[in-house]
Amino acid sequence: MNKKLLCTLIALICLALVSTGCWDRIEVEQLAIVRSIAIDYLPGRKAPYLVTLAISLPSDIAGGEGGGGGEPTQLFSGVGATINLALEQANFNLSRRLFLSHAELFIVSEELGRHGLTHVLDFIVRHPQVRLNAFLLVTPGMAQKCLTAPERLEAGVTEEIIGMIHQAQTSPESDPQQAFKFLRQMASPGQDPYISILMLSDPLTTVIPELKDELKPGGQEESSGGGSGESGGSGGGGGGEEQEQVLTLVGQAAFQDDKLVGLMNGVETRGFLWFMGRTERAVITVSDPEDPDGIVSTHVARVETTIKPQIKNGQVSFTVQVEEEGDIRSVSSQTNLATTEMIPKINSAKAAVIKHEMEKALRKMQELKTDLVGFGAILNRKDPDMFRQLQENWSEEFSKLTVDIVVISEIRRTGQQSGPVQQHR
Amino acid sequence: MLENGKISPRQTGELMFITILATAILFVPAITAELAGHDAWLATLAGSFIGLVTLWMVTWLGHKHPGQTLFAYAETILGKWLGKLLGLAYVWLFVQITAIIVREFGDFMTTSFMPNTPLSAFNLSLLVVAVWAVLAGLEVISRMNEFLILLLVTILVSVILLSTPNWELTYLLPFFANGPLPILVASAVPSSFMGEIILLATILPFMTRPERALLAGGAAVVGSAALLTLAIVGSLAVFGPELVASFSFPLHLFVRSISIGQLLTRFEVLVMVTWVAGVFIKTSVFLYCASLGLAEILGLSQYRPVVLPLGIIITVFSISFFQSVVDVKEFIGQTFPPYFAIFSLGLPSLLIVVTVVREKIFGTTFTQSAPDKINKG
Repeated sequence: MNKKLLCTLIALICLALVSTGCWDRIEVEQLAIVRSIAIDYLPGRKAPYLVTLAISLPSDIAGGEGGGGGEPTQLFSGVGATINLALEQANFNLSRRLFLSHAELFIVSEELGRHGLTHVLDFIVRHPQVRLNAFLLVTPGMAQKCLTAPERLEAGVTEEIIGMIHQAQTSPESDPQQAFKFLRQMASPGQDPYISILMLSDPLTTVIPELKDELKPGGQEESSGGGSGESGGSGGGGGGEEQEQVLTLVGQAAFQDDKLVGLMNGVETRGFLWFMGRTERAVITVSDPEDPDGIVSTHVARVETTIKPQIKNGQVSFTVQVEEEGDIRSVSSQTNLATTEMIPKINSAKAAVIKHEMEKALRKMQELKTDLVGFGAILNRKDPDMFRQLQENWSEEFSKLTVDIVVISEIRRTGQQSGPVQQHR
Repeated sequence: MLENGKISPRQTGELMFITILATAILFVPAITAELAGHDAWLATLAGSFIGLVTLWMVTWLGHKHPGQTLFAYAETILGKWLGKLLGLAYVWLFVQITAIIVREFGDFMTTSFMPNTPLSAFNLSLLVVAVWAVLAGLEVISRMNEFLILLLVTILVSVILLSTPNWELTYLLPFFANGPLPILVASAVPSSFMGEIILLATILPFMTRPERALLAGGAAVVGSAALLTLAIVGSLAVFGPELVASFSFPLHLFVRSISIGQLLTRFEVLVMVTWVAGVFIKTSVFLYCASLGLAEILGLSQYRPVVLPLGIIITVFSISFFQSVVDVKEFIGQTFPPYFAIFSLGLPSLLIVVTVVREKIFGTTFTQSAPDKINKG
């Protein structure tokens, strides 16, 4: 045995020691991959935080075809005085180590929102695994219940809700936000944050009695949040029956700092989103100028909102100008709308509807004293000295703020049909 | 000469660029946002001016004493013992900074990626590699850096560009809301990072064309300030000043917040790569300068024997200097800028003043001193 070989051997053994990899290494099969976290607050208890984890099996995420059978998502819960304690308790039921890096969803209950979200937000930022681009949602009632809702189109409940979020981002009735956007709104002076509402609502079969006998479960009807405005705010409802409830993502919760102060339904939320210029695809209905029974549905294709502060004699007021254009989508009467007289009439009617919607939303926000639009932040950008004087009690100032709303509507196209549906006379 | 290798002006600039940027990009955003709010990025730009002042002094001294390092011309200017004392102070500073860098590295890794791994595992492994690199010499570090700089700049710039969908540029407004004072106060922190250009004083004599030092160093300061500013603008636009100030490592969370579609996400590993690479270069450069300085002061014929002992000392310091990450942040934000200003602004200007006085009043001529005179002490 020569020396050289011995040296090589020793070097190789040393290398083997180094190549074992990370200290914190853990195999995928040993991880419980948490996809969404529901947090409830049970007031009056020593351990008020009820944390429910929706855990997916990695084979289900990656596998696609493979596997088969078995629930794709498993729920684990724990209670504790803090979220971390609750997680620790949930750990007692787990055969794997919790892994939060893939948690894309935090659902908090309204109760917790009213108590304050500081603890939840701190957990999200501070935890080394949790990501700031996870989505935040608020639910009336128990947050845990949302995770027990049956998935309908996607593989698991998390994917179902994430899909709904992506849908909602392109529709005008709610604006689901990632955690860091909520955080930055909360931190920014002159602005209050909001979180979209996810709720379990009764399916149409229970709302419309006539449907009950006709349809057994599985009816694909969903309240599509259309123009009539009845969609939002139906809220809790009866729920005593054994009917499976459906997940609905509509409306938003208004916050003051980290505390939830009020809920806004779908229509109010859309009114708010007009201020943000984020209402593309909204369906606005106006009545037919010729025939009072007829309803004209219009579709919003483009929106541009400009908010300008005005300071006169030390008084702050705002002008909000909405420029909007779109098409006619359906008409329920026999009127020919494709005339140069009718289009301006519809335009002004549409502008009035939008203005009314916005005023309603503004009144609601002023009642709640939550400046979700960020009027204060806009003023701060324009005139920091002025804002500094008002900053101390901006929410009071905001509730008395004068806001002029100007809406300019344009119908550009009438759809595939120019005149009314032709009838044989 | 203790170092036989030569590096080109471009390599020098790149080396200084990474040295400044590597740790600045992780710590400066939070500290400046805390002090200057949404004007934090202006503070960085202001801070880079101080870096340029240091750079000018360093190159002036370097050209006055061609072929001499900081430690050599300190002795020529101040005399043997005073010069050695000053040199020792710089060696101590470099050792201290290296320890801080290594500590920052370990803290970041344990906070963000591997919370159960002991700090010493990161610190030790980083220093083993750095000692190895320093033993290999300045040329090797520079060439390594030439490769890493591509990786680093590409990743940083592309990550910042990818985050633009999250940007809300209104968070940068209004400019100068609180007047220029907070910006100037906040600029102390980036300026102390920019002041690390003082390292050029030890590297300058090993450049193939020392007359280009001002250009190379200037490019390094301006380039790193630009990228740092871009990173701060990005963090502010994504989080707003209040949040940035509250985070431990804003850049890390900044990268974590990126999700484009559902595919382009989880880029933090890339940031870890750039961070590890950058810190490796930075540690090596500082350790190299400390070793070279110590060897020169002690009159050794080689700097290599002192590298490993210094590495061990630094490992110990990196763990024992600070109790917690709170101490680190406090030290970088409060104690370090004025302390470092002594070395980056105070002592170089002292050397300049003494040089001028001796030339003008006592008629001593420095410029003619032959390059190979240094080792004779």
